[in-house]
Amino acid sequence: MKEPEDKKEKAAESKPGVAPGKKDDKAADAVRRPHPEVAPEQERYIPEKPGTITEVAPETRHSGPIKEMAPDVSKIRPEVAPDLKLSRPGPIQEMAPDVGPHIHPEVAPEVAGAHPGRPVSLLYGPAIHGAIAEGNLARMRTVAQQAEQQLNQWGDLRTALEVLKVEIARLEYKQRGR
Amino acid sequence: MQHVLLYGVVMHQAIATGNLQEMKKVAQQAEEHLKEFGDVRSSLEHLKIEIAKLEGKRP
Repeated sequence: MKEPEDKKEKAAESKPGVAPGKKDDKAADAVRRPHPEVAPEQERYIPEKPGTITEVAPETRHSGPIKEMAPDVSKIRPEVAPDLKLSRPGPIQEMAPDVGPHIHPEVAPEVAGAHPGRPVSLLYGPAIHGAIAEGNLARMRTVAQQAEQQLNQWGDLRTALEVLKVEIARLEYKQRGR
Repeated sequence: MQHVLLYGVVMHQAIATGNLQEMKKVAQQAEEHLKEFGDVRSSLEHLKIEIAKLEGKRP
């Protein structure tokens, strides 16, 4: 029978003459201290607890593209990954041509799991028309719900484009008047 | 061609910059995007109609 975790910890703490965790701390210090020649930029950052970078920035654990839905990337400490922060594209103009528009949750369910509750794939007209052609009511309802969420989250491109065109015309008119 | 996913927010950001060159560029990209991938809003309306039709068929 297994002992509960808290009992195990208490037993470890009660050993006389042994400072709990002392040995582990030394070993961890040795591991986490970066070599100055190998990673000079990391000398500045010494984590309080030993571990991997993913433990420092758990939001980066999910593998896959930085892609459209990773606002958490902004939380990455610049000391840990300075170039990642600098090279990150803007929050809206997403550049993941190989994954963005064509990935479907059924094709890549592991990507879908990374952001529960969000439409992972971006739906486009053809995907919606494909669902119509399929004639599966349940599937059509799902796709409709995803499309609604997408529009709520990202806005409607057609409408926004109309607004943009109006603004362009307004600016051009102003510039001509000068 | 590098594929850039455009959203309504991008349009509004372009407007906010007031940079005519940038606005024209974004507008052109949006046009191309719509041409290639279609419009979600209008497709969604179509989908809803089809859903309603199917639901109406049910006894």
